[in-house]
Amino acid sequence: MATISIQMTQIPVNDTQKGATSTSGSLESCVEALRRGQDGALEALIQKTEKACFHLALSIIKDPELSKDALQDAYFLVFRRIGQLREPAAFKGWLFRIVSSCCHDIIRKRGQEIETDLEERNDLIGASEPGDPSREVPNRELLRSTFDKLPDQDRQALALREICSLSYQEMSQVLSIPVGTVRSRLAKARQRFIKSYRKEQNS
Amino acid sequence: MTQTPEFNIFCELLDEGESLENFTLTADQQLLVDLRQVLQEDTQTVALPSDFARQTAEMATSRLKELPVFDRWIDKSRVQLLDPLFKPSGLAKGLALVGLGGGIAALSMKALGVYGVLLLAFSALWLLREQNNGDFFLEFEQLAPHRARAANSLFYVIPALAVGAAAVLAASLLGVLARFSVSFREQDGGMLTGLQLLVAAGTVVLLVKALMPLWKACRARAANLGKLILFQSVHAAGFLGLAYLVSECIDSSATRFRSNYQPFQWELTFLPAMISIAVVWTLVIYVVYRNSPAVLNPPSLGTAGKAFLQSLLLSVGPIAIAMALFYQAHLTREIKDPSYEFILKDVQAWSAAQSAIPAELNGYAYLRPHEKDQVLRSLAEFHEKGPDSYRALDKTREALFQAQKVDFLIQLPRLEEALKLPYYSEVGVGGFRHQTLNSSFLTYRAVSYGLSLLAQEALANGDTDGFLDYVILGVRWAAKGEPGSSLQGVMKLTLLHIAVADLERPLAEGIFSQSQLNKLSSVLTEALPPSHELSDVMKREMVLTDTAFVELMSDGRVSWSELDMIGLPPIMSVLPLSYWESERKAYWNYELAGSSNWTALSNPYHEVEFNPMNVTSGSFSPNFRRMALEFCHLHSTMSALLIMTELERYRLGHGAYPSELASLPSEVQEKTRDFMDNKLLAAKGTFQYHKTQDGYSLESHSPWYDELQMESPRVYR
Repeated sequence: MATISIQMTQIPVNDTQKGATSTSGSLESCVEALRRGQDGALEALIQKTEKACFHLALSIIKDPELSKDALQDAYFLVFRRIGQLREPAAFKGWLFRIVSSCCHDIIRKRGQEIETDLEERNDLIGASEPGDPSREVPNRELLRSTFDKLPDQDRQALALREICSLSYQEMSQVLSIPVGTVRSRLAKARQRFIKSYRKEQNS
Repeated sequence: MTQTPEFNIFCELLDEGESLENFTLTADQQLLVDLRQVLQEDTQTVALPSDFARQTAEMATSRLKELPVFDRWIDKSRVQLLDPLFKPSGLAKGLALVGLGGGIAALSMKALGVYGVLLLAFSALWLLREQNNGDFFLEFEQLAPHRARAANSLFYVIPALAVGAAAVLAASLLGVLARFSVSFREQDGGMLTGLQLLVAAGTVVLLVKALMPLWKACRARAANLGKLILFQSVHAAGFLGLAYLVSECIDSSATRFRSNYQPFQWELTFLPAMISIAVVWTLVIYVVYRNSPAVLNPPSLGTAGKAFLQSLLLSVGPIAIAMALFYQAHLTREIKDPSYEFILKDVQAWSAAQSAIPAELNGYAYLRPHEKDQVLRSLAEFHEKGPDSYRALDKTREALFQAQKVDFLIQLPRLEEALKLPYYSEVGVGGFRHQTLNSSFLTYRAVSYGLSLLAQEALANGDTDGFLDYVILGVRWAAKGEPGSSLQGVMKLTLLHIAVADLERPLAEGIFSQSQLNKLSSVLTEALPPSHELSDVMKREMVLTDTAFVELMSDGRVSWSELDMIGLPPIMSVLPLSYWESERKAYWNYELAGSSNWTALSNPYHEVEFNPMNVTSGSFSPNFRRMALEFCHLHSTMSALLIMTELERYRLGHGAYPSELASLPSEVQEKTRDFMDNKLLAAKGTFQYHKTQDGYSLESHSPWYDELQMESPRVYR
C-alpha cells in the first residue's frame, strides 16, 4: 500500500489566475468594488472565479459550449443582483448557487438534447498535459469518464467538493440541503463512483 | 460496498484536508484520492478563452442596459425573491398549491385556515432563508448587532410588531372618529379606508424613520451575546407588559360600557396604547444606550437624532394631510330638507306650551321624587313570571308580599291624585334639556308591576271588579302624558305592555259583565297611542338632540363638562366648534331622510347605534328602531284586546260570538287603525277572525311584523 500526503487545493476562486491583468486584492474586495459599481470590477471578479465556475458547470452540463453559456448567464445575474447580496463573505456560495441554477435552467430548456462531447471537453481542459502533477495518476481517462457518467446529483456534489473546494456549510447553501445531508450525499456519491469504476475496469 | 465507519472517517479526513501520511490507504480510498487529483489538475489546465472575462463583463453590461426599467426596479427591490414563482416549474408548484387549497376548502374551511397558516409560515421561512443568502440557521456572527449590514431579520421582529401595532392603532383611531360622525356617512366608503391607510403609512414612516436609526445606534452598543439578549429581553418584556395592560383596559372598558358603547370604547383604548408603545420603545432604547459600553465605530447618535427630527417632519406631513382631509370630509354645509324648520317650529311650540303648564296643574310636578318612592318600588320584586306572578308565590313570599302591599296601598292615592290633574308633562317642569330625561324609570315600572300584582291577586280571589280597577289604574298610569323624547316613548310603551298583559286570559275566558266590558273598552280606546304618536316622538327626539347640540356649542365653545357627563370619549373634546356645527347639519339630513322612510328606519341595529341622538341623550337612550318595534307590538296587542272586548260585548248581547268581524258595530272598527298609515285594520285584513265550536280564534297579521322581524302571526283565542 502506498503512503501519500493529501494536498488540499484551497478554494480555487481565491487564487489569482496566471496571466490575469486586472485582478488585485481579495475576492471580497472585488465583491465590494462591484457593489459600489466600480469600473472593471465585474471583469476582475470573473477572472478570479471563472475557472472553478466553469468546471462546476461542466460537471453538471458536460457540454463545454453550453457551460460557457451558463457561465455568461450566471455572471449577468450576479451583475444584476449583487446589490441583494448582504454579506460579501457569503459570495462564493451565492455564486456557485447561481451557476448551478443557470446550468439546470439550460438543461431544462434543452431537455435530453445535451450530449457529452468528451473530445471537445478534453481539448478544453488539456487532460493529456496536466500541469506539473505531484505524481502520475494511473487510469486517468477511466477515472474521468467514470466521473462523467455518474448521476447528475452525485457529479454535482463531488464537483462542488473536489473542484470548487466548498465546505460542507457552503455546499449546503448551494444545494439547499442541510449539512448532514451534504455529508451523506458525498459519501454515497463516492461509493457509487468506486462501484462504477470497478465495473468499468472489469469490463 | 457499504458505508463502513472506516470509510466515513476517511471521507471526513479527506474533506477536512488532514494529512494522511500515516494512513494506509485501501485500493478504494486510493481511487478517491486519485479522482481528486485528476479533477483538480483538470481545473488547473482549463482552457477557457483568454478574453472570456472581458467578453462576459461587456456582454453583462450591455444586457443590463437593455433591460426594461421595470426589470431593473425588480432587481433593486425585494420582489426578485419571488422569481422562482415565475419560472415554469415554480408556476406549476404554485398552481398545485392553489389547487390543493381549493380541494381542502371544499372539505373544510377550518382545514383551509390551517393550510393557509402553514403556507404563510413556510413562505416566511423561505423568505428568511433567501434574505440570509440561502441559510436557514442564523448564527450569532450574522446577528452581531455591531455589524450594521448583518442579515438579522430576527432582530427586527419586535420593532416590526411595535410599528405594525402602532399603525393599526392610528388607523383605528380615525375609524373611531368616523364611527361617531353622522356626516361621514354621506361620504364615499372608500374614503375612510384610504385615509386610514394614509395615517397608518404615516405612522410607519414616523416610527421607522425616526426611531430606527436610534434603535440601530443603541443596538450597536450591545456588542456581545449577553447584552444582546438583555437588550431584546427588556424590549420584549416592555412590549408584552404593555399588551397585557391594553387587554386589561379593553376588558374593563367593555364591561363599563356594555350597554351601548362597547364597540367603539374597545377601539378607543388603542389611543393610550399607541402612545404607550412609542413611549416604552423610546425609553428602552434610551436605557440600553445609557447602560451599554461603546464599541468600535458605532453609528452616530447625533446623526440618528437628526434623522429623528427629519422624519418627524416627513411623517407628520402625511398625517396632517389625512386629518385635514378627514375634517374637510366632515363639513356638511347645509341642511338639505327644508322641513326641518317646520319640525323645529312645531316641536318648539309644543315644548313651549308644555313648559307653560302651571306646576299645580301638572301631575308630574305632583309626583316629583318623593321620600316614599322606595315603597312604590317594593312590590316589583314579586313580578317575575308575568301574568302568573301572583299564583307562583309560595307561602313565605305571599306573606312578605302582603306585608309590603300595605305600605304600597298607602302611597297609591298619591298616584291617583296626580293622574286626576289635567296635565302630566316632564317637559313642563324640567325644561327641554337632555339632563332632565333620565326620569325614574325603575320607579315608574315598579308601580306598574305592583298594580299588575294587585290585579292578579284580585282575579285569583274572584274579585273581577277589583281586578278591573287595578288594570284600569295601571293603564291610566302607563298612558299618562305625551312623551317628549324617545326615552319617554319607550317607557310609556313598556308600562302599557305590563298593564295590559293580565287582560288577555280573563277576556278569552269571558268572565266580565257588560258594564265591566263597557268600562274596559272605554279605557283601552283612550289609552291606545294615536297613530301619529310615533312620528311625534321621533320629531321631538330630533329637536331634543338638536337642542343638545346647540347647548353644547353655547358660549362659542363646546362644553367639555357636558360631553364628559354623557360619556363621550376624551378625543372628542379637542374637536373644533365647526365640527359640531357640521355634525348638527349632518344629523338633520340623516334623520330627516330616515324619518320619512320606513325602510331606512328599519335598518339593522348597528346603523343607528352610533346616532348622536344616543350620544347626546345619554348612554341609556333607546333608538328609533327599537321604539318602532315596541310601538308595533303594543299597538297590535291593544288593538287585539279591544276587539276581544267588543267580541265579548257582542256575545253577551247576542248570545253567541259573531260569524265575522264585520258584524261588530262600525264605531268599534273605527277604534282600530293602522299606526303607520292610519287605515282601518279591518279594511286591511290585519286581523283574521275564525269562529270555532267553543269560542273563536283571532290572528294578527300586521305587515310591520315582517319588517321588524317579529313573530307573526300573533294568535289570541
